[in-house]
Amino acid sequence: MRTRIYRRHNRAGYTLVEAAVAATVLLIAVGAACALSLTMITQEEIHVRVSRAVNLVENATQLYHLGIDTEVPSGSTDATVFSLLPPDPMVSSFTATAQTSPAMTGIGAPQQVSFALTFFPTADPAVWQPATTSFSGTWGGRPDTAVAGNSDTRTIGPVKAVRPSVR
Amino acid sequence: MMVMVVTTIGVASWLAIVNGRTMYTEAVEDGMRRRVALENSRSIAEEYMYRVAATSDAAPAASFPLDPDAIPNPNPPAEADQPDIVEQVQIAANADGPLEASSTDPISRVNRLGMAEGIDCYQTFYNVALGRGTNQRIRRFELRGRSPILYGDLVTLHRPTLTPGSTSSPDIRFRGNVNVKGRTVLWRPDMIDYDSDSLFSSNEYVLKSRSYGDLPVYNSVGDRLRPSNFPFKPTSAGSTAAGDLGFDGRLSTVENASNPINTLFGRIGGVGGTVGRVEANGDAISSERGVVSNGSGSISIDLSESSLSKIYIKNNTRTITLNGQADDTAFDAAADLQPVILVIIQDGLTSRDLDTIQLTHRNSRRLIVAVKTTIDAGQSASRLRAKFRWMNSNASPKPTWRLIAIAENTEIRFQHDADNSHVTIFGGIRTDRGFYSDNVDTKSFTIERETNPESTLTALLDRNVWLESYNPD
Repeated sequence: MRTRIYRRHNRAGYTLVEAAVAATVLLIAVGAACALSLTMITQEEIHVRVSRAVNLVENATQLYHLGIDTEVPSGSTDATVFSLLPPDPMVSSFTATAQTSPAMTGIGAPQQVSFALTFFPTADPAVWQPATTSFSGTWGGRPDTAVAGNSDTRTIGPVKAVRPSVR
Repeated sequence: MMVMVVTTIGVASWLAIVNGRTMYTEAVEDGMRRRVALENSRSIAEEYMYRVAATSDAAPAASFPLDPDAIPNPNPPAEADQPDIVEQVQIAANADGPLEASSTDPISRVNRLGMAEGIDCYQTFYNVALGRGTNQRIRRFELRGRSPILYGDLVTLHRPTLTPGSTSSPDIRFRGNVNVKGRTVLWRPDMIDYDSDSLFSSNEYVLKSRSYGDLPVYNSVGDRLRPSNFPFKPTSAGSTAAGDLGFDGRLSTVENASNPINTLFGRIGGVGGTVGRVEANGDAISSERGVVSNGSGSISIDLSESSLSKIYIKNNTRTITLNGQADDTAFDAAADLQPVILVIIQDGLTSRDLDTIQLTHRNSRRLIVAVKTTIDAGQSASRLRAKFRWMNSNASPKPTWRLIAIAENTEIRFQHDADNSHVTIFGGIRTDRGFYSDNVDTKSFTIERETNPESTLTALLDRNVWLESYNPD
């Protein structure tokens, strides 16, 4: 009599369902990691740009405190303060608006200017290139407004800078 | 699992770093605003010190609290239009200012600082506390004053106090074959009528502001000079009139009732200060300390007279002759005599208005000639001038003169009596009505810096003050 011997296989295995679930979980994890990475890279870019924008505003105020004019000299398209700052394609606009001087008893009326810088905070494929256009009276850099989808902006300011009127 | 664990740890670390950078970036903007607020507060403190201390002899208040809420909002209702400032500025009191003549002696907190080449600077200081809450920052402000001519501003064309007669052809002319071995300072180039045939040259060239344009100033080899200054530090010689500050380039240091401590008229005693002073008003003077007046508008002054130091001429004088030293012995001896200040004030036009100041021989005596004409606009430029006319100017050796000329509302005009002549002047000029020399092809001048002013000349001259700020830490 022939005896049929059934041997149990010792090798472990996964069913197709198990493999599919595992692959899905892995894909989700990898996808999440990729998305997180992109987000963080974007966030890093934002940090860099915000820091740069803050530096530009502070540099402008320091130049103003030193006595540099915010008016546009004859023969130029940019205010003297801005012509001394490096052009930056992330800048959408950088304005210096003369403010009514705050009259203070016993002091007089110090000069006051309000600086505001609007920039594109997100990463984009903008190419750094020399200035070919300018914002009359405000900024000499070439803004990357032509980049599709790059319409979100952020503004640093207004930051008020005050200097003595006696000059 | 290991890979996932490591990856998770890595991503978590990255997240933490990015979060930290987010917080840092937010703090960067806050930090920037705080630094701007401190700078703004410092500027306001400077404004206060400029107005109170630099333009008068008044002492600032012992304590000057600065409350942002007390500042009227200039652009209501937007709260954002308020400037960012700290909450309090405390300015330490000080009794003396560096403009006054008495600061020649170290009194109180006014000090004399030795600058380059024996030139003194007068200084007082203020300690200013800038505070927000309990956080205080101490700044030290030093208010300094010195003669701009002695420090190298050999030719300064100021902004006119009185309006020129015509805007299309202003009285402020600028022309000459003059080589300035120092700085030329132009406050308002847009108000100057510059002659294109001028051979004016200078070692350096300073503009008040680029917004007022430029003038073709060349160096000694004919290259066009660019202005050597970046921002212009606010300077003042004091109030130009009651309630008016002196930071716009107007010249008011010959005679100024609003600020007598920094005037040359004040240096010779001012109103009533007649001790040791020779006064002439057109009447005859036979001989007084080397001064002779013929009573007909002509005055002669002997610059070798040792007792001479102060001369005040008011009106009715058409010609003044300054007699220098004819020989080497007298020339060398005059260098050791006390300086001479000649103050000429014309407060009304007569038939004997000042026209010519003749200069004979050479002069090594330190000499200040200050002229002020107080007539109003609309008068002919020819009636607002002082012609410095060098006699025998082609003599050998070529004349050298120690001369500092300051002219308010009066054009300074240099002339020679002979062609192919050259005069070297050790000193400088300041004027708000133009600087003009004749015959640029055959008559030339060199203006050099007085390198040995000695303390007496330094103390006698008018001063400009400015503020410097230091961190005492």
